[in-house]
Amino acid sequence: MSQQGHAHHDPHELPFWKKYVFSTDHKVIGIQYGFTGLFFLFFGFCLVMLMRWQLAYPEQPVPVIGKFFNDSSMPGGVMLPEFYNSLGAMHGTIMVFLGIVPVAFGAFVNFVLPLQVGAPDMAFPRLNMASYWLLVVGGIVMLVSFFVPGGAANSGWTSYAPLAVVATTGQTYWLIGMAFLIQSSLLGAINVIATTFQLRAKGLTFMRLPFFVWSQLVTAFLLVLAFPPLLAAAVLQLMDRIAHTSFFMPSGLLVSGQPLEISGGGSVLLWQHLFWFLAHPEVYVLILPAMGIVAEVIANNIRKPLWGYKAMVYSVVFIGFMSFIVWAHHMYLTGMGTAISAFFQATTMIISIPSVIILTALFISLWGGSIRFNTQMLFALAFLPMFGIGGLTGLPLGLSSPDIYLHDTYYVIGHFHYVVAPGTIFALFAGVYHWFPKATGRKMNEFLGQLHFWPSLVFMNGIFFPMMIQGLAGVQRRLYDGGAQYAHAKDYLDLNVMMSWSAWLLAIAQIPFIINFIGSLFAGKKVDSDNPWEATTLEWQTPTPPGHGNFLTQPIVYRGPYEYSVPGASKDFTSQNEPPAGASQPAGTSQGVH
Amino acid sequence: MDMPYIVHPREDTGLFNAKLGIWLFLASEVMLFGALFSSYILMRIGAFQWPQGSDVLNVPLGALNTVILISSSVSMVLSWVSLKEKNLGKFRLCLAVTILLALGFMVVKAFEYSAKFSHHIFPETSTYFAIYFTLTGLHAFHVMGGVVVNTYFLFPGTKMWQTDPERFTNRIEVAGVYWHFVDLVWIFLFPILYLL
Amino acid sequence: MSEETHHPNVKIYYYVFATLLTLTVVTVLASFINVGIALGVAIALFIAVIKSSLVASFFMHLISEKKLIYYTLMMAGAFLLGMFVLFIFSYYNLPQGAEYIKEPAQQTQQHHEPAQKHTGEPHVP
Repeated sequence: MSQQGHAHHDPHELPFWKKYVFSTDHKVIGIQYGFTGLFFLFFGFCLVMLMRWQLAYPEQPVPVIGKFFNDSSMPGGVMLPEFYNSLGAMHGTIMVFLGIVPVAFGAFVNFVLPLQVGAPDMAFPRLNMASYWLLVVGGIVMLVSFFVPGGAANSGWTSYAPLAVVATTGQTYWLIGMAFLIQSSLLGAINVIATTFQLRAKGLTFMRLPFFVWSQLVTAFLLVLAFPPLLAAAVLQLMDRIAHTSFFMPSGLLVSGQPLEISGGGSVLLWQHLFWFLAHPEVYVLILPAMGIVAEVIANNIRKPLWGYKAMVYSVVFIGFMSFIVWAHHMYLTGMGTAISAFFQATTMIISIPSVIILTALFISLWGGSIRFNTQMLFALAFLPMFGIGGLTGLPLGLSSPDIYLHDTYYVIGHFHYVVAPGTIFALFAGVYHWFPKATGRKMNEFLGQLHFWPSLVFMNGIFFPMMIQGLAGVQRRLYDGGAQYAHAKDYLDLNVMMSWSAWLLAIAQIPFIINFIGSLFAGKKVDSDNPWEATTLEWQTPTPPGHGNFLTQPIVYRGPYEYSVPGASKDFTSQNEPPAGASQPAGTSQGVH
Repeated sequence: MDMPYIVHPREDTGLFNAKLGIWLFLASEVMLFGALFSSYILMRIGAFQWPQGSDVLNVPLGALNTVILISSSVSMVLSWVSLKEKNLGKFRLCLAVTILLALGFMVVKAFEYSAKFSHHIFPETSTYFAIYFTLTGLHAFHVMGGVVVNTYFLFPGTKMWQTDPERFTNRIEVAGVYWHFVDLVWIFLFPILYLL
Repeated sequence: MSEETHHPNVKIYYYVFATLLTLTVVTVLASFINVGIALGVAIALFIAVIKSSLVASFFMHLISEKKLIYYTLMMAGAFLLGMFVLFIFSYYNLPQGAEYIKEPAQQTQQHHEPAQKHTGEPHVP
């Protein structure tokens, strides 16, 4: 542990609140992030399920739960447009910053990464704890914002000026909440980078790192370097709202027919540039950990090495670099000239190449593999075509000419949801099923896992595929009636009903997962080994769950991360720290801490 | 397993953990202030008119603050040198001087701000003053952060000198790197806001 | 820690201090010379870069720092430069025929009123 010198804190002596609440142990913090993130994923999903009622049955009172909302949001159970906008803005914000990032980055990186690199903990355990609690504060601020006059933020998760500057109080809470969330991610990312560089076990060179570590390392660099401009932008927008400055407020603006009493002279586009400078790398923050998880699960369940590991590593690093210079493909319709649009179009097209390389390498890896179709593998396999659809539908959006038509339509929503929902979230599920035994010593139930997977796959497509159709028809996004007022949308409104039912049925399909998760914590089948999936990476070479400090002595790594089915080996896998045949085992080889 | 490389550097990176950590944090701070500087640039090139800094701000006070911060940087690095020379008394003196100079900086800034407010000049007055107050305000926030950390090291934190002097020396070095960065930002802020 | 940090050379800190003070004076004096905005910015930034390099190299020991730190900072610097260049490029590159309308800033006399009137965010009736 990180305590100075020799004064170990025997974990059994720590009081409850220090062991489980204000813990500095990366495994506890990882689980805390996991529970918090899963809660917010569920909450954000509830927000959109409410929205989907309005989209499928505009102006109809929401059944059953409609009466719990007051007149400022749903008078008579019928959703006000302002409330719809709040739901939309908060759904996006919560899913991205309070749902996916805490689970994909916070939970998995904290629990798995120190174990996979052979470290006793994260490099800065107390900073790690601070990161988690900053997330909690940010989450509370976001939740509280629903109850302030005017409701939660309602200017989209993108909070564009000048609308967001003149919006109701909830937007101020959004900005403050974002400041906490940004700080949380920043400090967590610093921890990940320091841990990966400084605490790798002996023999664990960079090209022997599991791909999961590479993808999380690149993600951490994105967070460290891309988040601060959004923090700067949030500060500027807070100044605009509270101090009445005009960073983002142009001259001569009228609001409800009245001129605002501000100096003017600001730039609306400045907000967009600062926002998207972060928000584009942010979407890579959402996908790269997922690719890392999928790579681990696939490698383990094909019983052969990943094909193209080196290419995947170079690709993920290249994605990291490129992601900083593509952002204005979100701004093609803001009046940029052709030269700058062409620049961003070129970089956007180029960045699709490494993503394809990674996906292709994972596909090719399957060839000739001895595939185990457990639940985590099903989710990981489904990730591949789902992310493929998401990525392909991104191409016409990345080209500036078709984007003129597709921008701000449901095509965009369909595109990014394909990448994040049946993409990243499936990968997160795979990670949960895969690493659950390491954290708890029990396996999750396979039958319930199948019951979770198949309907989820069907309904994910039921929600998001019709969005492509609606988008191509020109149905705009962020319309509270789903396009009912527009003639060109009329023929496609029926799809809203199908999409909404798919969403509600998708929620029902998560029930087996919730039952499985909670039930398995107490009554899941106990695993009979520390390495039930017969995996090669270091986290499986520790006791279950790993003790405080993880490894008794620093493990020594002798080989790469995916030595499956090595010809001549006695088992179909060789763990990274197994001494080479013929070498004498160093004394006291029990590496893990009990 | 104990946490390695808290005091002594790891061979291949050549760094102890906190050194890497603080530079990563500073990389993020570079992006933060850099984003604000790029906002300054866009505001200025898009403005119909933009005052020259020396016409609206007090250059002598700004120059004084520059000298104050540079001096505090020197005293900060000398406090680290004192620890290397195992001279705790000199360390305390140098760190105290650093903190006092930082507080002096804040006093000058407070005086400048109140002078502006009493002339009815606020952030909302113009985009120039908006970016002036925001940039210097955020910088002052970072100065206060440094004051808090340094004060902690001057008083309760010094206990570590008795138990683990090398680790304490590292902590002061890392705190110093942060403090020099705060000075560095001001080195850019002063000419950009006050002179140009 | 590097060899240099094991036995810090205190004299160099005083030399750097003196240089920084001198350059501060130079910056202020240079601002009085009227050379136009472009050259003025260039000179001011040039001097600022020299001063900050001195602080970074000697006070922050960057001159003897390890490669990993250099790479991290170079990455931040590169992305920052990219941000500056692309922000400015996107400002000046407009569709053909488009131009900015720059209006005179509103008179400052109006602004003592908002300072007294507003107690919260801009009021939207």
